[in-house]
Amino acid sequence: MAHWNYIVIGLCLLLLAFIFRKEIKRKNRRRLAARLTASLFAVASLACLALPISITKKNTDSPNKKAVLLTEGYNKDSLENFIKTNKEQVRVYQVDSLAWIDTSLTALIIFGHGLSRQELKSLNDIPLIFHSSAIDDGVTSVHWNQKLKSGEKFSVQGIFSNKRSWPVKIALEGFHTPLDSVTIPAKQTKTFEINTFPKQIGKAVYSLLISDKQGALEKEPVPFEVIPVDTLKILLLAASPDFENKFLRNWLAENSYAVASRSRISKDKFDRTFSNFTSFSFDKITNPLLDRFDIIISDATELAALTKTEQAIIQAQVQENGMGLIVKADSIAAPTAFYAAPFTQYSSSAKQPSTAALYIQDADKPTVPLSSDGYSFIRSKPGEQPLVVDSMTNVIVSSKMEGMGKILFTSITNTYTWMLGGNNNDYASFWSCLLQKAARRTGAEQTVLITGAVPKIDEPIELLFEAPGMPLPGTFIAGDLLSLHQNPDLPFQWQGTYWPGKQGWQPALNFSDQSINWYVYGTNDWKNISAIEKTKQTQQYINDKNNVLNKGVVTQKYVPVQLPAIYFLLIFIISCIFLWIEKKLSAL
Amino acid sequence: MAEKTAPHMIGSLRKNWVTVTCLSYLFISLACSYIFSVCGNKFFGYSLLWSIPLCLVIFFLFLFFDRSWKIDEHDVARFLNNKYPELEESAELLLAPVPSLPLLQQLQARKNEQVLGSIYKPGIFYKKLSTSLLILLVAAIIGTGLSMMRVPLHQETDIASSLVPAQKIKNEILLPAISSFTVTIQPPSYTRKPVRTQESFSLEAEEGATISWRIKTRSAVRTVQLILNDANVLALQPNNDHTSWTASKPMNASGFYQVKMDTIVSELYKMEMWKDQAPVISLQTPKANTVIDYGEPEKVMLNVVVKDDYGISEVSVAATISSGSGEAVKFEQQQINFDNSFAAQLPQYQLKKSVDLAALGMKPGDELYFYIKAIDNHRQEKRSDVYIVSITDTAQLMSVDGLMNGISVKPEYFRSERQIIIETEQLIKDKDNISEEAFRNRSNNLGIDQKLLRLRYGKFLGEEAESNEDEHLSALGDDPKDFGNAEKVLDAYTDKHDNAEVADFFEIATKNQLKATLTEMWNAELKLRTFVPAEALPYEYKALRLLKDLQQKSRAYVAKTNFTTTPLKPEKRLTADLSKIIGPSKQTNFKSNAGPDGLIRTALSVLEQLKNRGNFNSDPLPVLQQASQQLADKAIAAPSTYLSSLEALKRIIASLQNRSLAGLNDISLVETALQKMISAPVKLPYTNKKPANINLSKEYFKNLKKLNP
Repeated sequence: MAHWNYIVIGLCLLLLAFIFRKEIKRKNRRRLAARLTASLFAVASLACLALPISITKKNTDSPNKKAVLLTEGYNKDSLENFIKTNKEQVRVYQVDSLAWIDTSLTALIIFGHGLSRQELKSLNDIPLIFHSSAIDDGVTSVHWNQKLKSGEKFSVQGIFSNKRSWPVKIALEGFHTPLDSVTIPAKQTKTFEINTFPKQIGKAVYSLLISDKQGALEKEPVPFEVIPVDTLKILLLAASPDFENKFLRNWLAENSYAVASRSRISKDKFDRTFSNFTSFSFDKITNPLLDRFDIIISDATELAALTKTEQAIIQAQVQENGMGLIVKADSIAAPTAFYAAPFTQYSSSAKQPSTAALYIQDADKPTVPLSSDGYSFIRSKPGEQPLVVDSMTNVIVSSKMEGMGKILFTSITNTYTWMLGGNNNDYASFWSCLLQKAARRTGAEQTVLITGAVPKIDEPIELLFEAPGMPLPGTFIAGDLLSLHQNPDLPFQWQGTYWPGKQGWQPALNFSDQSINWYVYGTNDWKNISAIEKTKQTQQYINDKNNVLNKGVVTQKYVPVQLPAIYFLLIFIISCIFLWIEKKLSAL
Repeated sequence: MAEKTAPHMIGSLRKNWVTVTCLSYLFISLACSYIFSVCGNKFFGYSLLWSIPLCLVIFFLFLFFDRSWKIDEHDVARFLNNKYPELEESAELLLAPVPSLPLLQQLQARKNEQVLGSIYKPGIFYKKLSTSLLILLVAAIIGTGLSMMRVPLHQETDIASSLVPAQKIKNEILLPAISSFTVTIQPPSYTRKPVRTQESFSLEAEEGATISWRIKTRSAVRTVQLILNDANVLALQPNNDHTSWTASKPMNASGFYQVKMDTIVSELYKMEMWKDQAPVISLQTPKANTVIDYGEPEKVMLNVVVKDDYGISEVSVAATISSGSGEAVKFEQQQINFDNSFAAQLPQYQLKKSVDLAALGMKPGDELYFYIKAIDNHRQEKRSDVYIVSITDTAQLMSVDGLMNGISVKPEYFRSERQIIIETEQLIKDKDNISEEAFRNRSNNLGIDQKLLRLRYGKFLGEEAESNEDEHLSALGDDPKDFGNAEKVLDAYTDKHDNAEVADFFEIATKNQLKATLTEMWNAELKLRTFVPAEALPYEYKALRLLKDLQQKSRAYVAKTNFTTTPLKPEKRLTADLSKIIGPSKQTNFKSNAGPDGLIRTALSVLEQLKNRGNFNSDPLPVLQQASQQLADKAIAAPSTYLSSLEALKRIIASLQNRSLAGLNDISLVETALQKMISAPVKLPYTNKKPANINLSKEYFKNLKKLNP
């Protein structure tokens, strides 16, 4: 083609030169400029006739390039309405024929709940228009703690919207026993919370039963895992033997915690007990000694009685190694010491009732009242977190960050009366709160984050591993190698994609010392939730695309359009006619 | 129609009548049965199919009482006569053959024939039919409305049953070799129940019952044994050809058993024991502690109800009388029998008995301790709590022993309660010797003394002087200007000092007793001032007793004890030498807190894994086997709750050993039972893990420290 173009252009230039010479050489020089112009037009139009001249044009009118994709949950009426109002013929695809969709489409109109992120990626750059179907009946949002420690509350929370004109009952069932239920009144959208204390240790799948007067509507799996608590190592220091320490020591020891306690019985004489520990000598507090413990519980008098070096060792352990320190206040506390300085005690001037119920952080209800003789309150200050308060919000236990660790300050010394009164639960929740808050954090956690609210069978699932400090090029899942790539900014994050082929609990992901259990749902589980997620993903995908367009990246197509030859012919003829008439006129 | 002959017309009318009546009865019975069966279905859950037989029964009842099918032509004629005066009461003529009639009647018959022709229409009975159709329609509407209505009670059970898998009563699976068997339970004699025989191995029997098994086999077997609670073996005795086996055993504990024939073992059958309950005694009167004051009748009314599950053979009162005080106290035991006869051994007796304390030999100051003893026909004895009845000793109240020593007696310018009593008694004695007026005067004076005493004690309670209230009220005045003056009104009705109720030093219990004392004094004063000193005496005694009690309460007694101190070593004293003292050191190790509950908790999640057909990190068998032991212990105690799940667990273990799949039903049955066995764990403290990005945080922390040292 290129040669043809050059030949034509060359010949035309020669012709033009020849004609120009002839015109200029003519004796009658009237209307020379007009003649030259006419000749130029004639030759140019001749060349244009010989050459295919085309211009690129915005591709606006290409019929039959739109298509409709029907995804799950599409509304029949709106589809029919669309087809009726749309004059042109459109192809309609079902969601399972995604692979056959022509990628040169100018628009793909999606009806229903939309597509998953992976499916959207496979559509390349087809412009999308999304007509989503509303989801407004049933569970529209749900969450539960998928991993909890033994003894913790398991609660399923969510939003349920009830379109019926009669109430709907949501019940949690575990091991074929109904555990808790709520009723959503007719024609209302309400949040719900269902609680239980699971009895098993390990994995379990409870189920959420949704039923109305006509019978069961839905039964959805609720998988979660209960992990046994790992025990703590606790050091008890006391200036004198007392009931409080004795009860605490026994309670901890009976629950398999390792406790070493030392109470001063005379000058430099101590009564030592070791529970679930092999005995060792600890007349002096040293760094290697403290490395063994997660928490020190001591009264202020005993801390004050320690030597300056010992106090410095404890402070360093708290600040740099994150050990917890629980200080029991008494009147002899040295106000300038590191453990007492942040906390200011006061006795309330108002008349106090002789007993007071305590409100423990994260507990559901106040405790059984405890004699309030002989304890003062702690003034709450910024940077401190009150853990236990009384009904007038006077702080009784407060905690403060100290370097990597925490210092807890408690002014209550008669919690053992709960035990004597048989209120073991209050005792347990009080000390659980304190000890858990103070405990030294051990061992870095390794987690696997699973993207997507309900990972389902036969769908790709992105796994995000978080493991500090070690390379994780790949891991094995049920014998399949899963290759991971590292996050360039956060080196402890590793990512990979996995297609589960089996529903239910998956084989544990083992890496380093931990094994992590995860669950894959069946195709029909939690339909509403996955529909909402798909709708969101589709919307997000379209929004992202539109953002890219607005930034000036041209994605719409421009096509070459050949200009019709008739225009050039007309120019040629007009020019020739002019030249011919001009010759006749000049001949006159 | 006019061509029809008259008898023919009457005949067709008759047929019409009968049909319409029967049809209307059918409709009404349909309506009734529909309503009844819908009600029965809604409220009692009977099947709707019952409506068919019910309908038939009602229909035949109607026919039976009405006898419509007996309607004949004469009835029709009578009906026509009643309804149509045109027939002139002579429709019967139409029935007879015309030629046989006399002339006049023939003429009338002809005329009637024409009239009948004009009035004849088959629809004259349809009104009845339409009424019954209306009834049916109404019934249908009501019935449909009823069936649409939701019965709340019914619905609840629906939901409950949808949540809990129904514990259906299953048929027992027998060993194939058994051709027939009977289990005979002979209840023990105390139950007075007859011998019963059943044809199922699962049995429930009274404590001490004798259970006999008789098993017939299809062919001869070598041994037949009962394995009790997985442990003991009871061999059955064969007859000569080894096809009939018998054994018997007394019932002494709940549990379960299996039948073993040669080597084949059956499923588990439950064996539940009904324990004989001890009698229940409820004493309605007297109260736990009764004090009989001076002047009250020295009698106690016993009102007892005794119950037992089978029968009571004996009830009696065991009484102990204590008399005297200090070291001279004497005890005397007596048994008091009720007047009722217990020969019938009824399960419940309502018993009444009036105990005369004087007849028992009780004097003032003595106390009667008693309890009710009931023995049921299984010789189980039950005793009630101990009840105390005491008679006050007025003599002791009068003694002044305690006051004589160590207390400086000040002249009393008011009479004590004791003195008032003495003088009252003196007054009663003197009554016959003095004039009426003098008696009244003295009685009134005593009343005044009583009042003074009451006011004096009243001061302890913060009570006001008697006249106080009147003064206050008079302060209100009659001045019309003061009407509505809030200050004045408040003045009149308020005390201007602290609340009298709390402005003293006594405990509430003391104050209550003081108040009770004052009440008695009030009563005594009333009687004295109305000149009946004899009636005032009991109140005075009671007031004195309460006062004495108050005195006693404020005293503390300390017993003398012997104590020898260790001899001191003067050379070691105050040297502060502790070098030879070794600090005590103690070590204890507690077992893992998992315990038996922990095992069940793990077993639950193992079962969940099994349901998932998942692969296990460790072998599930040991956990399940240990759980099965614990479940078996539970099943022995409560076979009806746990036995079926124990069987299911054994099937699961067997299938695991055979490397086959366990049944989902079995797994859910075991899960339900296991989770019923344990309670939720207690919250315990634990340590959180560091986040994965710990190195990043550490760096940050170090740099932060550098900046703010």
